[in-house]
Amino acid sequence: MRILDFALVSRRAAAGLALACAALAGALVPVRAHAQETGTVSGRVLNPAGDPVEGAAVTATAQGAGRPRRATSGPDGAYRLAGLVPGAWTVRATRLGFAPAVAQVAVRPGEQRVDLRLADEALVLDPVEVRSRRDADRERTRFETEAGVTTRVITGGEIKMLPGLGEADVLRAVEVLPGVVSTSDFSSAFNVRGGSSDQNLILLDGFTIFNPFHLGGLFSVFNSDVIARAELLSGGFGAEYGGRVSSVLTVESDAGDGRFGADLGVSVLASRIALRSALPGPVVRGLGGQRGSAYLSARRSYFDALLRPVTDFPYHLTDLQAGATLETGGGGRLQVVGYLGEDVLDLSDFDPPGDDDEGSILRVRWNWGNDVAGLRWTQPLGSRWVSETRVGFSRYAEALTFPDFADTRFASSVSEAALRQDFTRQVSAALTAQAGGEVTRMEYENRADAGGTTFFANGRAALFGAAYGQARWQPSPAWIVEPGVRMDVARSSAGACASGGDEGVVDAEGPADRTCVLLSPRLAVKRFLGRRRDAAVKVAAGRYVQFLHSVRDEALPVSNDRWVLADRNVPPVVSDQVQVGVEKYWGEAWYASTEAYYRTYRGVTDLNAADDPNLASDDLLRGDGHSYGVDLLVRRSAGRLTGWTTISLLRAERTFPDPLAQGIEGVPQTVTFPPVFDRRVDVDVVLQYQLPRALEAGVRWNYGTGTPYTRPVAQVVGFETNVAEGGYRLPRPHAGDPDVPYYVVPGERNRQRYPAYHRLDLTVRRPYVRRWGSITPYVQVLNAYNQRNVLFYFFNYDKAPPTRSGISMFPLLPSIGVEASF
Amino acid sequence: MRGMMRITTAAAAAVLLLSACTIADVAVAPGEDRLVVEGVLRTDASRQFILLHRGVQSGVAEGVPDAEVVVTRGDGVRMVFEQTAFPCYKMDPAYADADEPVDIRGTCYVSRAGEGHWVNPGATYDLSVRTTRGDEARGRTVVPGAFTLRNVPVSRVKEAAPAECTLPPATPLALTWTQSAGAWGYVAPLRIEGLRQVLPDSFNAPDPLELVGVAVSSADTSLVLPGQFGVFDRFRFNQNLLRLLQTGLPDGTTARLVLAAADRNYINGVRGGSFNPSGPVRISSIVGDGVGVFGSLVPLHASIVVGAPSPERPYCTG
Repeated sequence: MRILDFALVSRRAAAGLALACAALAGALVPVRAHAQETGTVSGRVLNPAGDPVEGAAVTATAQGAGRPRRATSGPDGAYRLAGLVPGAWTVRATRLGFAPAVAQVAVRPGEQRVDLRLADEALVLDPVEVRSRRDADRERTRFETEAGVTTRVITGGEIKMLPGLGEADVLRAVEVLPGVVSTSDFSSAFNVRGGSSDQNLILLDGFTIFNPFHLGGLFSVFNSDVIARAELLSGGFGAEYGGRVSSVLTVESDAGDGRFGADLGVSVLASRIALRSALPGPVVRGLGGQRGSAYLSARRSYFDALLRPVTDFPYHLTDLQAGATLETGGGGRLQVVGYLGEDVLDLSDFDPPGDDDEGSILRVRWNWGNDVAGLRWTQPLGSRWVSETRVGFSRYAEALTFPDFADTRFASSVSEAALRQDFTRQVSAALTAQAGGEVTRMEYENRADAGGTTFFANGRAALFGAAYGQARWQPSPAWIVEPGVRMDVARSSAGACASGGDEGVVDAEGPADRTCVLLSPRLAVKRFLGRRRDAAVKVAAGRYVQFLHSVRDEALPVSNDRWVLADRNVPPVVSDQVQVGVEKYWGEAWYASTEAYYRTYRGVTDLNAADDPNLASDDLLRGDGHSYGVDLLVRRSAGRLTGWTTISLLRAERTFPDPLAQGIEGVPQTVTFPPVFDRRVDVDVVLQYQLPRALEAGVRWNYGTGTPYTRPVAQVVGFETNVAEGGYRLPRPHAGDPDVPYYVVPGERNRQRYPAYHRLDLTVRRPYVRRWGSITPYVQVLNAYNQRNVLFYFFNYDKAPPTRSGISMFPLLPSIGVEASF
Repeated sequence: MRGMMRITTAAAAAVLLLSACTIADVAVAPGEDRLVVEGVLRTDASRQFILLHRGVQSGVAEGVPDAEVVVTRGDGVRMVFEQTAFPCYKMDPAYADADEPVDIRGTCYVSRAGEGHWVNPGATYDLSVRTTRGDEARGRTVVPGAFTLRNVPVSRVKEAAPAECTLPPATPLALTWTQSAGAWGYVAPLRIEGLRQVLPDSFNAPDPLELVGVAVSSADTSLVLPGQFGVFDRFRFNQNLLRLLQTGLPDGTTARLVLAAADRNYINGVRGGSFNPSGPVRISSIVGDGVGVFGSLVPLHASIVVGAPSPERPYCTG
């Protein structure tokens, strides 16, 4: 088995790299050499036909010593290597499918142009396991070229090596990154640096996906076979990002390199298939392109089909994802993305009346899922401009119906149609400017009808606009400065940000239709340390705005998000954030970083359990919060043993008004509490090891201090008013269940803590490589030492003596699966 | 049979999962000894009842004897409640068979006789409770406004015989009523008698069958009888029976209806608070040293007989 290293980089990153003019100062360029004039080598990487080649790895090595400088060619094939000490350098460009191009360059002060023309090479490959170091290079590139953003990348291969629930899961893999916590084994929703789960923007190839979870969060909708990588921006992201305040997670698909390939997989959860191929030549030429590729992925659970001879299994899930990429003339790229997915819980197929059953069971049909479609066009405009256009649509919808009762239905939906345009310009060797704008139409509806009564109904459409400008300036090789500003504009049928963006002010009586403008300045500064520029200290600060809230009871371990837009009753979330960090590379193998942060949140929301049904303005409580902490990461990326360790320290707090205390003297009017995701210490150890006999082992150990919960302080008999006859009574007992009903009296909210959580997960894979492909059986064990991590406590004060019982999260869960690649 | 297999499979999976997921019981300190107030004023009654009890501890829910219970009217008049041996609460005999029975010793307090119907729509009442242990609890209720059913004759006094009307068999009745100012919702217990006599045994019809209709917000002023009743009971009863009731009531049955406008405190008390794994949470409208409910209802009483009309009992209109 050979391992090939090759350059893989997304179109967006390539555009940034090509125009960032990264001044890669290395070991041969100490800081004090800033006084010495340096040289810049730039040019284009071309194929034998003279067309630009995107994503080629360009390396410059000083003859005799020093760490190589790196760049990646952009969509127009352009690359730039700055800060080179005058002297003899070897410049080399590589790209899969081509023979390398090498040039010997005598670098002198100033700029020199060196185009590198690759030659065709017919590669006869044994079936290989491919791992991309480009993903580690992506983080390294961001380290070298960007100031403020905290970015962590998990490759598709690493995702496969992280034990999941039956199969690899990108959203569960994200949990092992610094600053990311999960509150329950049963949910793959995640929280970043004290933000709630709805404050994470999740993108599939650049397009929003709202609720990418199956079974209420048990696992994600993404097929790991078609995932190239997941990149998490957990702080300090620039003005180009908006819509969420806590993080941006980009899941990138692997569209293949144009050659036909197939991946099959079967796990205890589902069966899946992924196909990749080049686009047919006539199609490519008909569209005016030069080369194109496409992929199709499908996944479906199979328990319903498997058990059909014996019984009806009422649940199944499906995921269908497809995409195509077309390389057009002039270095352009056109990408199409689509996703359809659904969960179906169907209890409607029951025995008809008249059989031996005493009575049929309530028939229920519950389905939910996402639809995403997007088109993305990246086009170089000359040698210094790049344009990117995105148009996309995303929708999440859920419906719970009862076939026998037409008057009962619960439904929730949220959708987004967006048009976005970005421009990037390389102004000079030291300055890159980026600007853009987007227009988004969002719509949501939540409704619950039962028995002729509408328990809640809300929904509206809103138009949002945003424009941003940002710059990346390198006044010297030791500094990067990134100022930026984003302007969000909202107008809705009910007056979004009726307060005009003023914090905490909601104008329920104001105009019904009003425009709100919010400015979000952002600034990041990085100072490289040492001669090798392999260490840096950085500071980033900025304001972030979010117009979308998810309404859910976060105490429930599994639930679906229900979305509402900011309006006259609910202000947007405005978060001010600052982070300070230090990071360092030791060669190619080791990396460490430490970051401290502080975030404030204004306009967070919580369900109002005591809302007035006659009013819409009090359905949600409006509150504030803050979080602060430190994230530490140490990572090894080379050798037979790779992996990382993260330690995250966090403190988060929320404050909401107490609706029951309003107007009552002597009673506190607000409640302050830690949210359920306030896990004070979270430790992850991830190891991946190449065992003998081609075995691959993955280990994950997670430790976290206990999450908050509300302990009941008393248990009272559950009397109800006897409306018909007067007086009071215990509710009529269910047949065969005469236990006395109780209410519990809750204590202070979230003032108790569950015990510490820890869990060890293991996976072992054994690829069998053949001429036609490979087949890889695997074994996973979640919770290998069967730790009884507490999901819930139950307090039973009616017993003598009173007891506390509970249920735990995942027990020891072994699973097996098999994957095949052709 | 297939249904039983499905249930068995699901139950086995649940048992397997839960047995692997249970955490051993540990003894804990007793819960707090909280005063609990059950106080709902009604405009249809001349005598009002308030039930006091304490939180459950070691299988006993103690009573609260010799407490000072006073409801003050908006005009400042104090209505003093007296402890009474009259049972103001009922418990189904089936609770005696509970695996873990509870000794419930609630204490009833009743307003003095001779005061007439002193709870009026639109009025405000304040509750004060002082116990011999020094607990002091307070509450306030604003009674919803008066209203009436449009298409069914009603009586506003519980002690009076309910007005009756006739409903044809297998005919749903769309009840509509005027809006009650200040109500947070309407609750409508429906008691259907005679089902067991007129339906086959396969329907497994309880007799009487008790369903509850709910309308949320003061402006939600309609319910279809009987199909829109029992929304929260649809998991309990035979589905064939419930599907039948969507089409109306069988001939020979009687439906006794109480439609009550409910105030904020009553609605908060029945709809529950945030999720807590130990049990349902009731939103308390009692402040101070106690928890519970101090709310109010404006009930209307009606009786609907399914069959042929008579001069004394015409068809219900609508």
